[in-house]
Amino acid sequence: MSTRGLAWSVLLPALLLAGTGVLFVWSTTHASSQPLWGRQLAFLAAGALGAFLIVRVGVRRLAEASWVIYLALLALLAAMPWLADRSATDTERWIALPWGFKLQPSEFIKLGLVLVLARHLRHRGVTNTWSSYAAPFAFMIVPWWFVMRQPDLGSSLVLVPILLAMVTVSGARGRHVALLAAGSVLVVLGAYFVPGVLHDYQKERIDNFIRPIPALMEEARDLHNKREHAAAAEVEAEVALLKRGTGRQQLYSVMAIGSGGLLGEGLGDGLQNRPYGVAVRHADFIFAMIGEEWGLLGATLVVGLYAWLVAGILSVGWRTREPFGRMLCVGVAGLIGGQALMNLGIATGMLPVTGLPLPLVSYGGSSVLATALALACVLDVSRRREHVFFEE
Amino acid sequence: MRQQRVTVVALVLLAGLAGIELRLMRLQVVENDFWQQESLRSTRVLQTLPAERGWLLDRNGEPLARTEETRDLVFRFRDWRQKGGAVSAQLMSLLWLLDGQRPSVPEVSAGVAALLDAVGRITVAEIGAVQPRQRRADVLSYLEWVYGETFDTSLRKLLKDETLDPWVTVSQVRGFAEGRAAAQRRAEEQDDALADLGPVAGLSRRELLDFIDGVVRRSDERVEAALARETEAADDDRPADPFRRRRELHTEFDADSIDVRHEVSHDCQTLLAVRAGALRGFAVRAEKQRVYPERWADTGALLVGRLGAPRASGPGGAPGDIEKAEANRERLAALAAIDDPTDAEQQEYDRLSVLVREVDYRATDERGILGLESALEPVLRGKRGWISTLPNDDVAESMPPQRGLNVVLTLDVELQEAVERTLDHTLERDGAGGARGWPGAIVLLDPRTGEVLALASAPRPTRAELMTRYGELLQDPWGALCNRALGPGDSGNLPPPGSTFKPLEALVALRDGLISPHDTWDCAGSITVGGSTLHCTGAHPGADLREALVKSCNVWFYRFADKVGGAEVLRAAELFGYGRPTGLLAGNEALASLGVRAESGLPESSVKLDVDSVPVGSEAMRCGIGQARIDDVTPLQVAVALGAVGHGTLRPPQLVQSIEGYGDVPARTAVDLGCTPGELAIVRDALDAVVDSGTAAGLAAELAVSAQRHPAEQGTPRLEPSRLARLVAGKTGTAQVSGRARAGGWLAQRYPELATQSRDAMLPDHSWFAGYLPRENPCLAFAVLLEHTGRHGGDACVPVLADLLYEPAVQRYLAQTLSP
Repeated sequence: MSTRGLAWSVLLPALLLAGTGVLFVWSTTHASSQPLWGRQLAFLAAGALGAFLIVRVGVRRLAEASWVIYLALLALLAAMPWLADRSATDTERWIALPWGFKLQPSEFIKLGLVLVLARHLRHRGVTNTWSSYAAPFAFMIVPWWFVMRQPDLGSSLVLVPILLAMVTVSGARGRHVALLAAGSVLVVLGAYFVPGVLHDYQKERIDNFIRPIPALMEEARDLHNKREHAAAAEVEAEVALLKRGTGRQQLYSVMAIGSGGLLGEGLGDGLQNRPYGVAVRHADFIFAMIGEEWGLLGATLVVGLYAWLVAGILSVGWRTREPFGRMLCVGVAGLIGGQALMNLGIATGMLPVTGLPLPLVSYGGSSVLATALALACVLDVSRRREHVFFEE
Repeated sequence: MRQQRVTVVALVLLAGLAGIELRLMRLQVVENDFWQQESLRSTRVLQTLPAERGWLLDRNGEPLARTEETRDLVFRFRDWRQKGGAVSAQLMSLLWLLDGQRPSVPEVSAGVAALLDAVGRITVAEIGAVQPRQRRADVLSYLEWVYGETFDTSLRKLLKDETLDPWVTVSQVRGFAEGRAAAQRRAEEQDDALADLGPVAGLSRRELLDFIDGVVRRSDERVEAALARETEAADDDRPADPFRRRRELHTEFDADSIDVRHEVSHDCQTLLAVRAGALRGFAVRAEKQRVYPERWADTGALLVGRLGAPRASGPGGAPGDIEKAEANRERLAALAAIDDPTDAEQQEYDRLSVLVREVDYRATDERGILGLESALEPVLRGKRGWISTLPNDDVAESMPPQRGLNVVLTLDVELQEAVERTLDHTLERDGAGGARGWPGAIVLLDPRTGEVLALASAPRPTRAELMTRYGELLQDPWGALCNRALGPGDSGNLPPPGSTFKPLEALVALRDGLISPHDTWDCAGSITVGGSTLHCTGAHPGADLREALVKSCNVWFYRFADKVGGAEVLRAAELFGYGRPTGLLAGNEALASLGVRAESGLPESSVKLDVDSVPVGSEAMRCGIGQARIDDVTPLQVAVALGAVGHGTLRPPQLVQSIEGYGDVPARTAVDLGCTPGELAIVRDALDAVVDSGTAAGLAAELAVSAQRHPAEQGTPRLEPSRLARLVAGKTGTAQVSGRARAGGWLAQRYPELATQSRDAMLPDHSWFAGYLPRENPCLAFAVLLEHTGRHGGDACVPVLADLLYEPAVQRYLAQTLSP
């Protein structure tokens, strides 16, 4: 296998992001009883191996098998109530593997959705009739439902940008995409008001988002400066109430990032890098640590790397003449870009809190592996962009 | 077309990332300072250091209230059963996990050997089959803790072996025999240690086991109760896992430290330090505690008072301690948030930050709620200190606590004890027909300085009652928490001074030249004024001032009041301090000059003297015998006033002699009576005669009885009764009170016929005897009050004083002060 046609603008930012991830998994866990950076390296190695296999197998065969892969993953998701390991948390997210490893099928269904949508949309596209949206929407909503019931709102929501990106490129009208996006938001909002769909803690997070703690604190500060102490006290009471719930996680994340300043406090030296500081700081909130320990410079680096990566993936899609490959690239860009955007939005207090890893950076085997496989698909497309390799 | 769409997706995603970047700039550049401060603040752990409360001492340095470090033995269930804990506890937990059994702690403790074997008979397959997983994990943990690591490693290996013979038992696992033997040894060692702990903790081994059993059962009950509540309240959409929840609840509840025994010895602490390994679960917790030394615990208990929780509401509906603290904290937070404070705001911030951190009450604080503990709270309490630590335990800032100040009282605890014992006698002796005697009060003070030597009220609570039955005492029908020396009894009304007022008004009238000692009025036993008849104790024809005082002639003083006028009578009351608090603590100008502020808690009652109009006619005449407008005095006021007659100058009373760090409390401003020695001599002579031949003439005989009852003390020269009687000068009083017996109060219990009256009527009279001794240069002023005896002061109170004067402590005081 030669390196000819290898998309460096995909591989380089991905490697740099993964490296940053290992550094911060080290920073956040080296002092604990369970240093996880070695395992993260192992996950990355597994990801590299998986990527190698994908490239060897070739996207073409994946495309042929996309239905099988999608349906198999769907079956796995459907069977989660029976397969799940509930020993750590009361959820149905993980399947226990030997040596304490755990598999999270919801990470892989994202790629499954990309594959099946790419195959479905590669020629047909959307003809801008309502019925032409039905199938893509159904492909998305079925796994969305299973994942959400685990419950794993974060992973389920990442399916939405994938659909939106791919439908857009397949020729949907702008306003249809807008409608679809608005519809997705409405579904989530509807779920908020229909009893029994969202868990209380999920509703609480949305409440926190509607009135985010950092904004409330600012409001209270302004009121104090206007000497309207009574009104400020009311706002502060609200903050105190929110802090007791999940709002604390986000507040601490924002606090850590904000306190980082320009250059940060140095790797491993973050004030909030401690037990009872930022929660899950080696995984979902790892960006808070990057912001605190590397400051604006490091955070900008990470944001820039994602921009580079997304641009790289899309440029592969842009250049390829093969419709499946193009749709695949767009889907992967939607997946990685959308998930990164959501994670960063949560960490910086712009979106409601939901558990979601930062692709390639956060600690987690399933996430690293699934992202590596998705990138491998893009790399394979870029290698073969001159060939029309899929005919029906 | 589609290629362009790719660009659209790229632009949307890149725009999103650009938005994140803008947000980062805002957070990390614009708001950096704010978040840095917040972050720093979030890492600080503020720990408070309680201040040690100041002591209360009597004038001779005897401590009445002390702060001591006490050691309590505490027990924590979780430590007892976890790794390194008691083998019996671990076996008990195993039984609970395996089949839900909870045998009693003594049972398990007695059968450790049998249980160690019984566990060996379980098959490995059974352990592998324990569900849910968490329960199995816990079973394995306990097995490891009991039988050791070698056994554990082998067991875990066997559990993974799918070809395992289903009949292999735990006892066949490698390392079981050694582990069992070691566990047995450990259990014996722990049992020995427990048997050693018993004696030093003042409990037998069996009692200790029973205690632990109680803790275990209570923990189980709490868990089950909490679980039942949660099941009831739960929405059923979340899968319930009772084992997990039960485990969580146990983890939480079992961590509580439960007091086993208060004030254990130093030996107990040493034993626990030496045998900590074998006594896991037990610990000694050292705490600073308020201690009332046993010798004087009951003496002056009501006066000393007690500690309690911070007040829910302040006096007169003012905000309570916690409310006030809360308000201060809120205000402080508000001020802290202001970016550009004005000078006034900065000052307020500085003031409040000290208050909030060091002074304001926390819900867990104790404060004085009664007596001197409450009144002197600002002095005794001290200031909290604090330490603010960083996550790495480095100290960021700290302030050491400021110990509360020791207060030396003017009180002589031995005299106080004597006075209280005398009042107790009164309650017993006068208790006719099973009912108790009469409530009352005695005040002793030094008229030369105003120093209060003893101040007692009866009935009085014992220290134990005060500490454990406080709520009931508040409802006591006898008003056991009323300090009758300073305020009203359970009726809520202060007594009138009655005839004890007569020498005071006579002295003032003499001073003002309104009467002469030779003014005589005939007393036929009664007098009719404006249609109503006022009575006297008898007929006193041709009585002059001396005679009128000696015999306590009412008619003479009616005419006297008529002659000198109501205004003059009121002037006398005012001069001697009636109608306003004496300022014993609150309003004490000498304490105020030191910057010491007294709080409520030793409330001194007074009813403002109505001087807006001048009493005339029969009202003025009734004022003349210490009634009508002069209706409300306290024994303390009466003792001060009569002492002033003996001393020649009025010394306002003082209860605090010195305060640590402030030094001696300066003398209070004396009140010059403005009388010539001659005028004073006229009244004093009459007061001498009261005891020699007047209404208190029974004193000599009563003293003889008293001298018989109180055996002489070795080394203290005693005054003969006849001699002692000739040292005492005083005035009796019989105060008329009208009203209604309070339903459920002692008066209604004592006089059942009063309980049924529907209108105000005359109640049984109060009895007084007040005066000073010796007659020349008195060193002791006294006031004795008994409520509602219905008897003359001379009959009811003179025996009480006689009883008191032969108390050894009083004799010692007299011997000391009289000898030079």
